[in-house]
Amino acid sequence: MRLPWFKSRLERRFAAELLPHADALYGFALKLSRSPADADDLVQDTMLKAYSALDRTPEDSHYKGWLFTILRNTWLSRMRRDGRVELCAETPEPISSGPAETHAPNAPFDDVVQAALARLPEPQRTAVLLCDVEELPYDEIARVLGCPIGTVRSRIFHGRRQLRAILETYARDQGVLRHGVQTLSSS
Amino acid sequence: MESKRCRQVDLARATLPPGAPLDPDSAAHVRSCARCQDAARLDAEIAASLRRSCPPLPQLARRRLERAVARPAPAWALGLALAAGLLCSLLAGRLLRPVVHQPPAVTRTEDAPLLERLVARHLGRDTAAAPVGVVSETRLPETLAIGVVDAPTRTAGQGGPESASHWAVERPLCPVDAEPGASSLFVLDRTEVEVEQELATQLAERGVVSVVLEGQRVTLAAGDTQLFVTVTTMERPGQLAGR
Repeated sequence: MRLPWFKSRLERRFAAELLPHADALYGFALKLSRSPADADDLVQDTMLKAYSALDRTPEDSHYKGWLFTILRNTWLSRMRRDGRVELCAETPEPISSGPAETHAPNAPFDDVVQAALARLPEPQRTAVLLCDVEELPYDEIARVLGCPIGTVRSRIFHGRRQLRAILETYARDQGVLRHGVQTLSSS
Repeated sequence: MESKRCRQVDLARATLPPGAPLDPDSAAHVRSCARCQDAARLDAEIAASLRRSCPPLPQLARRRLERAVARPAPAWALGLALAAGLLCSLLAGRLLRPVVHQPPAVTRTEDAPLLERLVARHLGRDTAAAPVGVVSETRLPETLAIGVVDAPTRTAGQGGPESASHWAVERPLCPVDAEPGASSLFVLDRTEVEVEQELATQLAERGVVSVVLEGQRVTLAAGDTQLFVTVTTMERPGQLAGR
């Protein structure tokens, strides 16, 4: 039986420390999975896993990075279970075509960016998202990705360059760019 | 076109924490390089777009999440809640009991035993024609004395005096004129009223029998051809209803 005014200490911690990150987790999960239903499930799994381990977690923990780590690991486990391990590959797929082939010139910029982000390899995509959207510090991103900070910087560097390469034509058409950002070589 | 210096600046931007300024050399290069200015502008536009397209967790999912982690309350909390609820209901009953006495509801009592019908008429609950055998009925002043009855007071059961087999002696005699409240006097024709055998015997022996029926004192006094029934209100109707 539930009493509306009764909450255990863990429930209070959950509401105070974990639940405020639910929106950020959902946005991140949506960009990873590109499916609202999958993102919903991912957030649910992540929160329940975190809740079950909450009593073993110090109260001054960095909950946000911890939650992102759980969510990403859950996502990768599902991908491996479904045989979609290529998403974990470090090597980026060759970026040979711009958005003009998949988007109309007047397509909303946000849609084009989403499509471009989906073309990045998962490690770069995650690194760019955690840095540019969630604004996590590099050491926190390194913990989420389970790699050294140098690798995080490298992934962010290559991820941004690839996004620019994909979006350059569209951005010039839209007037965001004046001169272009052609690269010396492909990363 | 991108130069080696442009690439070094890109690398420097990727190694800086979000929002941190570039080193002076790199900043000077960016100011003089249109390509690096475009790259920085496009990076900023992309990041802003990604932040814009972050919908919040749907409310339904949030509620499901809150329900999923909600645990049942422990036994002591349930007990506390029940005790608090009981206390609240008791206090509410005590505090919110209406002070104004409601008029008694009018009910059909034609088929009830005779004494119960007389009590109902006394209380105003029976407004139909007088029962068969009632010669007259009169509302009496509260202080009218019937007389001290030297007999035990009896309490009627559910069936009233007609089913006197489950009468029981409850308390010793007290005079009816000592009780507060209004009284009604009913004069009955003995030839038309069937008196239960035990009651008739007691009336013959003592002349007067007093019983308590629905909180009213009912006193029967036998005459030659008549039976006098007095119904006296012992307590106020609101107090009775509160029992």
